[in-house]
Amino acid sequence: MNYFVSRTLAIYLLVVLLAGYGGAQGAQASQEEETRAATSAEDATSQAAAAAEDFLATLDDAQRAEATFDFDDELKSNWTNVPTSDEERNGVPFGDMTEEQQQATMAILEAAMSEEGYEKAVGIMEGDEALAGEGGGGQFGIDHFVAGIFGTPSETDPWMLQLAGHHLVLNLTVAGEDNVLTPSFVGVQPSEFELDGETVRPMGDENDKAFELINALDEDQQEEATLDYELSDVVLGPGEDGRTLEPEGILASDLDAGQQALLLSLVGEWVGLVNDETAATRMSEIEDSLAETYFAWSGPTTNGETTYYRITGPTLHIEFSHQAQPAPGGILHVHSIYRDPTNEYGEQVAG
Amino acid sequence: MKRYRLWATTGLVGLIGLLMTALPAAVAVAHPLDEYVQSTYIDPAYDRVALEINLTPGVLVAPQVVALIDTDGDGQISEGEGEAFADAVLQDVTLEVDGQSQPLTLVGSSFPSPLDMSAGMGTIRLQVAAEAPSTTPGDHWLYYRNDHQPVNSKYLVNAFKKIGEVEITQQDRDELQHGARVGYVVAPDVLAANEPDETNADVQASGSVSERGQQMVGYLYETTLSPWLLVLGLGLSALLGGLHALTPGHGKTLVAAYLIGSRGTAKHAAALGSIVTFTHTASVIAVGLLALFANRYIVPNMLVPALEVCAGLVVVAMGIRLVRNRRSSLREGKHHHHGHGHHHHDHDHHRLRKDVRASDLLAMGVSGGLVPCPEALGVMLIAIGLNRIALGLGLIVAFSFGLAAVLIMLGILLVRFGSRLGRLGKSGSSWQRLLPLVSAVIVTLLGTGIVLKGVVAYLA
Repeated sequence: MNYFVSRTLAIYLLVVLLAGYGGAQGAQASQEEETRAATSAEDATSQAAAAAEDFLATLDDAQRAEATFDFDDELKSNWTNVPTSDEERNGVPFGDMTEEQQQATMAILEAAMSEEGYEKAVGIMEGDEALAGEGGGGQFGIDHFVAGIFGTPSETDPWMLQLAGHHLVLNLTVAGEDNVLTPSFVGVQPSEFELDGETVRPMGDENDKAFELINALDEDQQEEATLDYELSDVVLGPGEDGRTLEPEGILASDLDAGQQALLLSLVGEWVGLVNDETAATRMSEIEDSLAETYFAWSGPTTNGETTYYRITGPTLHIEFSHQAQPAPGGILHVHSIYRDPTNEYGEQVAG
Repeated sequence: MKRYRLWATTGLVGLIGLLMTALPAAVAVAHPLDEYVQSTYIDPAYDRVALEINLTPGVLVAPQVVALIDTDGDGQISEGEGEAFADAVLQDVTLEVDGQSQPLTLVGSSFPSPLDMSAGMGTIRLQVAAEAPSTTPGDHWLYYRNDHQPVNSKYLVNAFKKIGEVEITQQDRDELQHGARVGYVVAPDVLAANEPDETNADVQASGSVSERGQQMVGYLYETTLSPWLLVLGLGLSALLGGLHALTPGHGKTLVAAYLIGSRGTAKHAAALGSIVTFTHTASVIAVGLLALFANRYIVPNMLVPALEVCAGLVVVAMGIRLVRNRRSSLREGKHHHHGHGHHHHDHDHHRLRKDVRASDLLAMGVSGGLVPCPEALGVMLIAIGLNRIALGLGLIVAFSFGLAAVLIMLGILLVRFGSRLGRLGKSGSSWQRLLPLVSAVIVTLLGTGIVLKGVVAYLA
């Protein structure tokens, strides 16, 4: 470095140090470009709207009254991952539906979600069924999932499907071409089980990719990412809509390209629940805000141990938490929450 | 409907309870039913701190918690019962802001029905507020601790993300999240946005003068210093000090060192470098220490703007003088190539070509060092103006180390290798000679800023 450059730099930086940042936080003017091809998302919307209409048509009057809500009904936020009575939830329980009605419900999800996302949802519900089979009790199992429709299914006007049960709450807001899945609770118990002779791990990737990422960080990065306090469950669980925590952990922009790719792949597990095109748009939005996105970890870094992590950005809040119970025999129980603090229940697109 | 709900809830509670006791090992217990989850959100603003305390009893501990609230046992939570319970919780909660314990006021609360709570569905939400003792822009901190524990409890504490008037700078929790220390910085322009109209009282006016002044300071200079930034700053100061040793003013000293070197030793060079550095920065540090003590014993509200104006004027005067000197030395430097400059050095030459004596060395070092060191003094005065005297002192010390290191190193090199390196400090192309002028202009501008700030504080 020559004399001129070094000296100017030194004076400049010293002045900056004393003068500080000037308090002027430049407004982030990063409008993501809407360059989507408008086929897949459009299809998802029209198919989901049609499926929802079909579902409502299969219900009798009493069921329909139980299943439908005004789009703005405050009960929208009344959901929980905790096993509870069907009556506490919004909508018609699967246990009170015919097989046709159940299939009609699942068809809405199938239309709006990606293939992987739909498989995951089914896996989680099957997991709960397996839990019920293990003697989990009367509040577990597919019968205790409920489906409610907020607003009127439409290709243009906003409406929402709330599918809620133990360990899976999907709030799918459809507003024109926008399919929004925030907030959603995605958990599973048992996290690994046999189904038709095959081993199923509905949230295996959320687990494995995270451990791969944390172990891809060097020692300093791990330290930066690590929260020095215990977390045994997600912080912004049910009832905590619209809140934004002060971000903690390591900045995604302090990760190298390979680590960033792992992080984005991990984020994709939640973002990718919706149809591919919508997911791709949202992924690029998240990718563009890596400089404001944080990854935080609390707990052991060996795959198989009970741990916790969090990924937060301007439009993203993901928490993943292994549950200690029942601890013996390894991890059988996972919670996660997926939010967009700026777009809960699609408030941005639903007007 | 209600009846069904009651039945369902009771059935659920009963069922879970039964399974818990009957099949403790075999049953996959879905959730920590025996925990009272106490989650607090901290929401600092410039003039107050809001807390939201959310209490969620698990199914198995809910009856105990309900019993604490519903003291008359009628299955309803009356307003009085709610308030009494909230008061009891707040007895166990402490909040300090900037080291001062703050009384907590209950602003709002909501209680689920005892029935919902018994189902593990209910969250008690308490909205609490406290005043902040100081609303000045800059760094503040708060300490929150929750010791409420009527039953087995789990704690969470989190600050909300803040954008604008207040920003969170750090959160330190204990492992179990009973308590958290939260650092935050109040933005400089927050008072202007929030200040009520100041129609009454001179007393208030004097307060707002300093507030406005600080707001102005803050607007220009406010910062939060993270540790790495501090290290960077100290490193840069040392670098600046080292580079400062190479400027023309010190070129003369270097020549002197060289001339001594013709008869001196490395030890002499080291001693000379140390003395020059010491005297060079001692005065700066003296100014800083004086300000530090003055700051202690004189009312800061009065001192800061006054000091700002004085300091600013000194910096401006120094800057202007520096600009002039350096412009002329620039011209001189040009002449130098034509041979005129030699007279200058001949003068030193004659004076210094003597045997090396300790007293000479000291005198030369002191006189060489007493030449004002504008960069360092500028930094110090700016630091005083910004109320960052300790930081300023740290920077000056680092600066001195850099200066001494380079001076001594060059002195030793000169002693060792003589004339071949003698030109190092004085030769150079035009940009190299222009630079000191640029830094002088920067110093002048900064001084002007400080003066304006001080004046504005008085006028406001």
